[in-house]
Amino acid sequence: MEHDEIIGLLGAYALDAVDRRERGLIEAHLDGCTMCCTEVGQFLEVASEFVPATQAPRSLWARILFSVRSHGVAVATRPRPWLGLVAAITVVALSGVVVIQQRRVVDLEATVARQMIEIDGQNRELDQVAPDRLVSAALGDPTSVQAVLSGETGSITFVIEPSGNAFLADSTLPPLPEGLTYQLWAVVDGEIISAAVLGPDPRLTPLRIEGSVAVLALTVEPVGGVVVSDQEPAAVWLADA
Amino acid sequence: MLYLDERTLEDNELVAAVADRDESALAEIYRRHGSQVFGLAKRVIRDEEMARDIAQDVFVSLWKKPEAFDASRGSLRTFLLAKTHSRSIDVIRSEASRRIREERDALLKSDSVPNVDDEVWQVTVAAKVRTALATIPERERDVIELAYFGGLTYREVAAHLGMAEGTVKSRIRSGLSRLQESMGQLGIVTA
Repeated sequence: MEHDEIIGLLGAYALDAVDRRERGLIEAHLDGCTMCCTEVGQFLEVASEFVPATQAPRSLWARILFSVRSHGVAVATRPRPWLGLVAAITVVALSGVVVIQQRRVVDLEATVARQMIEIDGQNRELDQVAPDRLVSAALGDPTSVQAVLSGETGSITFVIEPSGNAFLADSTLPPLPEGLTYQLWAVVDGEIISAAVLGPDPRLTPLRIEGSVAVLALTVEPVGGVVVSDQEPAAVWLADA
Repeated sequence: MLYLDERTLEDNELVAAVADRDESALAEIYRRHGSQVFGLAKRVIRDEEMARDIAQDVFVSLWKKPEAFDASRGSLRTFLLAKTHSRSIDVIRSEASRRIREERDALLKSDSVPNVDDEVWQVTVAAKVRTALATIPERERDVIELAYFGGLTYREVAAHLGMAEGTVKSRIRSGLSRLQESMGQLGIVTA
């Protein structure tokens, strides 16, 4: 495509109103043409003034920060932190270093399974010792941290004792349909870990959250939970928000 | 105090801080431009959830590849909004967004044609920008609006309006040139 033809398309290019082939040709031309580059820059600046003044949802920044903090694990183009691990495994498999990542998945599977067993046992234990009293005690402890995970459909509150014992203290989240469960994830020291599989209608559940927690996130998953999630968080809590 | 310091930095200094993995710098960039990024995506996509995904992508991409921003080619605002628009258009044109395209097509067939939304210019841009927009012929404004907010290629605009493709191309370019001049005179963009 000749320079004059490119010039005629620069306005449409600045508005993303050219097709893929034309876009490629124009961008190849722009690499070596200062004049066209300047014109496109001016058009883009003009277009950037056509901006609707819309309040961004409050959860947007939390979602961005959550993705950023899990960036070490997330390598997917689309910032779905859990899917990132799956993508990483696929890529690594191609380069012949899959063993380590497979071991990690196995470890995670074991962790999720162990958590389900532990929670099941703890639930039975709590049935006998008035669970609300444990939560009240934790809430009354000034050294405990209250983590309120907020999302579009409601919020869920956990109280975390310095020992790592944690309790689900309150939830306004709607019960899930059959076949689905809430799953809690924590970012601890830059690692995403499954903290608990909470069931479709979370109640006073005890769990363990050890280490320095930067982020808690809740996703909706198939019953039984997953090792790696590709879901957007339904609710998020940031430690330093 | 760190928070106050971030607020005094120029956009390109903030991007340099992002390259050093400074979350508070990214937070300040989001504070300055987040609503515009989200607003543009929502206006083009017409779907709040997808607009949120796009806005998230744009800021996370900046975190991952801050070097993609070249201050010599324009402001950070222009860079972020160009990314936002481009991704929104990609979504509209992708096979996965048939519903959005159908909604857009229905809108284009409505009585409001040739304006995608008569109130768009009235409610979405600042008063000074409206003043600048008033200085260009309506025929140029219409093609820019259909392309930018309607997500149409110039060929689609031409087919939609029953005009020659060359005419649409030249109207878009001349309209943007006129806007650049009048916005420059009003101090909105670089003269």
